[in-house]
Amino acid sequence: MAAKLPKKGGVFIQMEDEIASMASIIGASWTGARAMTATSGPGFSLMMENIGFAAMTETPCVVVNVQRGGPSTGQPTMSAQGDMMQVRFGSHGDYAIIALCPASVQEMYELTVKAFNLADKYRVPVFLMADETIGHMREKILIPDKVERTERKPFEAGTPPFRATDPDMVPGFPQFGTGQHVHVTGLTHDERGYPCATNPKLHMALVKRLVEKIENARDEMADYNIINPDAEQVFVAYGAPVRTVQQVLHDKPGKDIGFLRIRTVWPFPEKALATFRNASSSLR
Amino acid sequence: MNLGQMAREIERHVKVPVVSIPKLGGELHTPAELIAALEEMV
Repeated sequence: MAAKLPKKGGVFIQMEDEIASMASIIGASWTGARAMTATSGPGFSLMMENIGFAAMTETPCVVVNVQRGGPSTGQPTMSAQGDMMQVRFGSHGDYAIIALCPASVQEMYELTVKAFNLADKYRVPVFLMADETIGHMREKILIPDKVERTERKPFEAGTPPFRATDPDMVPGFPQFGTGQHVHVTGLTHDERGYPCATNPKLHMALVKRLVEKIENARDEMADYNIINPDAEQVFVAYGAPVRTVQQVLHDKPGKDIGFLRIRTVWPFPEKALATFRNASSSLR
Repeated sequence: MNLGQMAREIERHVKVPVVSIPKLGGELHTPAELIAALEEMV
């Protein structure tokens, strides 16, 4: 990306650590740029404080986490999916995020595009939760001539910058440099963006909105495949293990093995599980 | 490739037994391991 991004009009910055990397994409996003960073292992832990800041400030951004074995430095260059709860709950306080899990190189591309669109639509950090197996995989991919792009909701000048009156509970984006003079803080803030950290009702309303704008869109952003919905035994998988389950289905053809293959892991597509009405057990 | 993190999320939403097939160490499950888990259930 360091070599290729500038050729496409982008900017690549090598930061000193993952704390700074996360802070940088938050700042870049507020200038209107689409911004992402990538990490693995303890680097993801270093990002946690600023991930909470991004959630609180409703900053669209994308983080790629190529998961490896942990805890701590663990197993660099070895595969794991041990950060699935950390991505959802790793920063402090109540908040919600979106996490996508690719199972191929093609999906690394497609879900990265999707991650940016979801981040801009919902003004939230979106995570591409790959694993080392997919991260180091080489496969042919098809890159379309055009990609679908979701724009951030425009900001109506003169309105409070964090007022969210639409049913989706997402405020318009008052981009830096456009004369809006918006105040952005990780403190509990009112619709103007100014700190009101000792107001219980305001804090309740703000945090509920941050969570509900994502949780209420659970069905809309659900992304999964169902195979053999009448099966009694059902595999549930995401990321690289999807490929192992696909091999099992290939080796054991028939309708006795079901498969729920999940791409959007958070928010969790819980309704998909109800599809398997005959399930007597679910394996993952 | 964890110790069942998402299995607990699935348990919250279904009324049937959820069997975790945990694997750590940095390698993918093999098809044989998944088939063995299936056969153990039947």
